[in-house]
Amino acid sequence: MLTASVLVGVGVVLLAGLISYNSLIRSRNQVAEAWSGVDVQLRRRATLVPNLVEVVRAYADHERGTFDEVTRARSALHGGGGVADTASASDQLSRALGRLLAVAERYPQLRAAENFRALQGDLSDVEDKIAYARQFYNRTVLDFNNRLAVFPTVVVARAFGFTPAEFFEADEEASREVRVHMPPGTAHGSPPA
Amino acid sequence: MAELAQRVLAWNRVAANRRNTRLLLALLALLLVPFLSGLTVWVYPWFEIPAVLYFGRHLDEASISPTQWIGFFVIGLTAAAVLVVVGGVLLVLFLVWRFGARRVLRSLGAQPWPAERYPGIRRLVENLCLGVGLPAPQLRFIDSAVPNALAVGRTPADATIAVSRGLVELLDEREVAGVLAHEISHVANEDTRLSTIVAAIVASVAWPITAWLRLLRARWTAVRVFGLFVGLGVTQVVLATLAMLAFLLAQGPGAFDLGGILGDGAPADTQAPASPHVPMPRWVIVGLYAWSLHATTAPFYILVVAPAIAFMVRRAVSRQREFLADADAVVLTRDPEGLALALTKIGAAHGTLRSAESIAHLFIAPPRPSDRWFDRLFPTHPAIESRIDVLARMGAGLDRAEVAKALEAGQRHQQAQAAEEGGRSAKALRGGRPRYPGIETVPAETADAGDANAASGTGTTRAQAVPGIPVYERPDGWSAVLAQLDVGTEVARSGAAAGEFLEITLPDGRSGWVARTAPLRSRYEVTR
Repeated sequence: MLTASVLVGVGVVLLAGLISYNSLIRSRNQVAEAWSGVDVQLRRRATLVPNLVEVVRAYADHERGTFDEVTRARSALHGGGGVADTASASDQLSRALGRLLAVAERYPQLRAAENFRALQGDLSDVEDKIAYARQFYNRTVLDFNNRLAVFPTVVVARAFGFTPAEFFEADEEASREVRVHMPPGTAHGSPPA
Repeated sequence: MAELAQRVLAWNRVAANRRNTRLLLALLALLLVPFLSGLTVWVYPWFEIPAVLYFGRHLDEASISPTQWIGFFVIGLTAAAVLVVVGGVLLVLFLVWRFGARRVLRSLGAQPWPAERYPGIRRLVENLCLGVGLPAPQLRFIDSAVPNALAVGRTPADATIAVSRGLVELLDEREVAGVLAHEISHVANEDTRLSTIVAAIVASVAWPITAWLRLLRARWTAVRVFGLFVGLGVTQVVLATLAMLAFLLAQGPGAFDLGGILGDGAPADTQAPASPHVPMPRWVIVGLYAWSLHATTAPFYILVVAPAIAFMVRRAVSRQREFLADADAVVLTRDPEGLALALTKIGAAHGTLRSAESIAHLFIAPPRPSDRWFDRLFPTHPAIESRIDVLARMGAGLDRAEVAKALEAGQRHQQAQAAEEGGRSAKALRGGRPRYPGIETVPAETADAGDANAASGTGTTRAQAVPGIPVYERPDGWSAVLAQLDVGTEVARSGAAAGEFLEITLPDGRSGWVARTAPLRSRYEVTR
């Protein structure tokens, strides 16, 4: 009787450990997957940047400083690194792009140019996508980190040395600068006349 | 809406709604227990009698021991339970078919999404889905001026969101985002699956009364008479059992003392007539009373109480899921005001979308606002005011001016909507080409020869009835408003149209765009 109950107890503990371990792995994979979602959008923005710079340069060649800033921010983002580094590089790029668009505001011809408006729309869309992908990433991180802190998964996490994932903390202001410049009418409704 | 209403956190609302849904489902499960046991009381004799006849043949009748009786009882109950469960599974399969996405969408006349007319919506759906980590659902279009939207599909992978023309016309971007986020949350929460499960439970609880009512309403008199007899039979059995129970209760516990009849397992004829009297244990007596009471009340419970409670629980689950989707949408868009304004507009428009009653819970707002008493008592959706109230307490509060504007826009839309409804029936009568509501085009004979564009409506029109029809700078709903037309303002129509907008020229010579659905009325004058 005693042996039986001890065996059952050990079995239950082992089963709980197994389930916890699996849920941790699943959660960690989800974080990685969500991160790749953010990464895809960051890359999409990076490919837009050179085009945008070229279009602006065609009208405002003397705004060197702004172009350099954008290019530098973009290559910093390319350098990779951890989540925090990427987040700050991304903010920097957003801010630089905001300044670039502010420069563009001063050139009515540029503002009216078809390709500039298209790029601006795309950029605004990518910023939106980054914001949403980041939101999902942070939600999966929250879920994973919670698992690392609550019983019974905390025991397994300690034993197998799981480390908490980093949040993608972005400066909302930085991306808003880029997003508000979205031309009206491209969001939905009729195509721009 | 209290001034000092307590702030709520969207996340807390999400947790609370999940908890409430679980409670309601537990209630539904509890409801099923007496239902099944009650049903088995009525079904098991059909299995027990054959069992006794078959196995009993090999036994000396008098020698059937209580253990064997219990054995027969268990066989009967098990068979009855199996029958009920198999029936339940068949019902679920039927409901899955009935609420299948394709069927629902076809019944609504959903079309492929007109991306060229509303290019931004699909992108909005994609972006919002990034926020919940789901593949973007399919998008379908319902060609109706009534603003509404719904989500169907059992899993996020095969989900479809259908949006009506009225919704895209009436709402601006952040409001549409709120509505789409609400629908995407339904998909992410697998609400269609949940509501299918709930519908299956409700249907399996309601089938006795449904079947009986169907018998009574059958086409053939013979079937109706049969239904009547079934009803009479059930009533009679219930009354008889009740009478017997009353009689036995009056007799006192001794009445159930069947020791001499059931015996103690020993063959009856070897017992001397004056065998020692074996009194039944008390628990057996109590059990027999309880069983009789159970059997007597079961029909009432099965036919009336259980279906009624199940119906209420189903509606309650539906309301809870609406609150949950609202809260989740706010977590996703971080913009409670957008959804609140959208709901204000949709509520003010108050349109009726032709749809089956059984899918009402899938929409963002009730597609067929109804005044029947049970719809008012147990609505499929929470009152729009209370949803808006919760949303108002999630963010920084609502701007009164914005709400008033949204309310007015919704009411204005209601007229356009009614005009379309009227126009549609008129069109059905005339069989002519469709006309846009509220705008009467110039009859061809009064238009001069140079006006080749008469059919598309060049002419002078006059704003009717509702003051403040907005004239937009561009043919889309959130470009700048150039002017607002007062009643009687004369405007010229250029004949150009883009999407849902018509071009007009204002008295001061500026040109702008008004919604096709704006209530303008022609004066039958042609401008040159």
